[in-house]
Amino acid sequence: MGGLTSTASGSVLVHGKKLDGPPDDVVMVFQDYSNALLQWRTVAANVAFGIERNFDRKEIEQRVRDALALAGLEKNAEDYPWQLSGGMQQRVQIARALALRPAVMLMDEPFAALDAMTKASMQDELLRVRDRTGTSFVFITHDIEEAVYLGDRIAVLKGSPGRIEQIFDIGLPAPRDQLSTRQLPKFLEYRYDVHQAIGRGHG
Amino acid sequence: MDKGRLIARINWPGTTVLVFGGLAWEAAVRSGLLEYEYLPAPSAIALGWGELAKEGILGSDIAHTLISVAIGWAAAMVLGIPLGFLLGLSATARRYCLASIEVLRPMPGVAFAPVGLLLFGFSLKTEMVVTILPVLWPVLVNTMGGITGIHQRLYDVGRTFRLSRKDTILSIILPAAMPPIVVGARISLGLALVLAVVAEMVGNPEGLGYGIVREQQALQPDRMFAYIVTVGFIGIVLNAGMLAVAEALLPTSRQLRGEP
Repeated sequence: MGGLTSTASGSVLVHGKKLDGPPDDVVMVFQDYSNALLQWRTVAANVAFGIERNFDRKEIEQRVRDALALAGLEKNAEDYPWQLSGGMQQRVQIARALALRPAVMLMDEPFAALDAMTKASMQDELLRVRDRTGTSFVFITHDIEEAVYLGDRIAVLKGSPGRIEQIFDIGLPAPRDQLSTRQLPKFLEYRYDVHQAIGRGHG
Repeated sequence: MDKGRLIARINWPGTTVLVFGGLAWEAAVRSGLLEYEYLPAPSAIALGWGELAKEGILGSDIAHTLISVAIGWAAAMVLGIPLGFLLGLSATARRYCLASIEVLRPMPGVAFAPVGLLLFGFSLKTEMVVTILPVLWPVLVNTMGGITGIHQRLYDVGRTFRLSRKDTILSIILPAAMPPIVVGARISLGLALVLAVVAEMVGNPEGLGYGIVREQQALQPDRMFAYIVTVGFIGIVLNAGMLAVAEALLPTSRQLRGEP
């Protein structure tokens, strides 16, 4: 979907056009943030990386400021990535993607490398960013509860190569809350069903 | 830098050990514990150093060796970085060239000193024959390695932001490879000094290397050691200079810069 690997069979269509490279309006965020960030650039320069070729200076500065504000990184604009914690580095990556104002953001297990508490707060931040920007997110994860907590629709992939096994529409109330949402009977039901869809062992 | 910070930056434990070592050496020689005819005390070496400086030989010898180092190192950088880039970026180039590099690299530059003497006689050019080939390798290999070592993820990032090939080279490859390139340059600089001195001992009778040999043959150990100390001191200064350049150029952590 990110246009980074080629199709095994058939083709991928976006808005009816065949895909043979990263599609416009779609940006990818990777799991290994320290390899994905430019360690020799400041946070602000990293966030500007995707847009610095495409807009004039004023527009770039504005977008960087907005993206930093969305990601809660205003105070860290002049820091270097290696000075920041894992969660903050991942936020830099997200801010960098947001600067492009994409329609869709692809996230490949972005919170898998973070500790449990950081993960939880990042999940809520992501939902807040979604609400404020209207961006759609395609979020890959192995964490079933994370999928149910964050998702409006879940696609369970199974097998190698992965096939879509089942799609769930999640009808949980918004805004989601780490404590109360995760206790709802409906949450547990979804969790059970997704688990069943994956089957025994990994999906 | 204000005095307080300067004092804080000095390596006090290390310096103390060195000073104690020097004092112990001095005491050992004076007390007769170390009695070798050709192992002078630090005080004698200092006197010898003063003599050489006053005679003016030291100054011109330092200049000669430094020029030799500068030319050899500059040639290595001018040849090594572009070649390293080519090899780093092109798998085809690597396929054809790596074997030759592996054959040429272990050859000691010093072994070419007689060749240089036959070709160029007693001149700076002879020193170059000894210096350039070995000094080329750290720069070339580190530049190539710096580029091939770039994490695939950075290329993925370039692609997800739809960077052109040119922008990928300028904004991703070049900055990412800089730390290893700078390390290669620093190693080469130290190596250039070593080889220049050796070439002067074995080939061209000028400069600090020749000074060491000349004073040894004249049975003047204090002046000989003075030359040796000077070489060591220049090595320290050159290395520290490169480290400072690296710190200014690369705003990354020391670990990412490849420093110990």
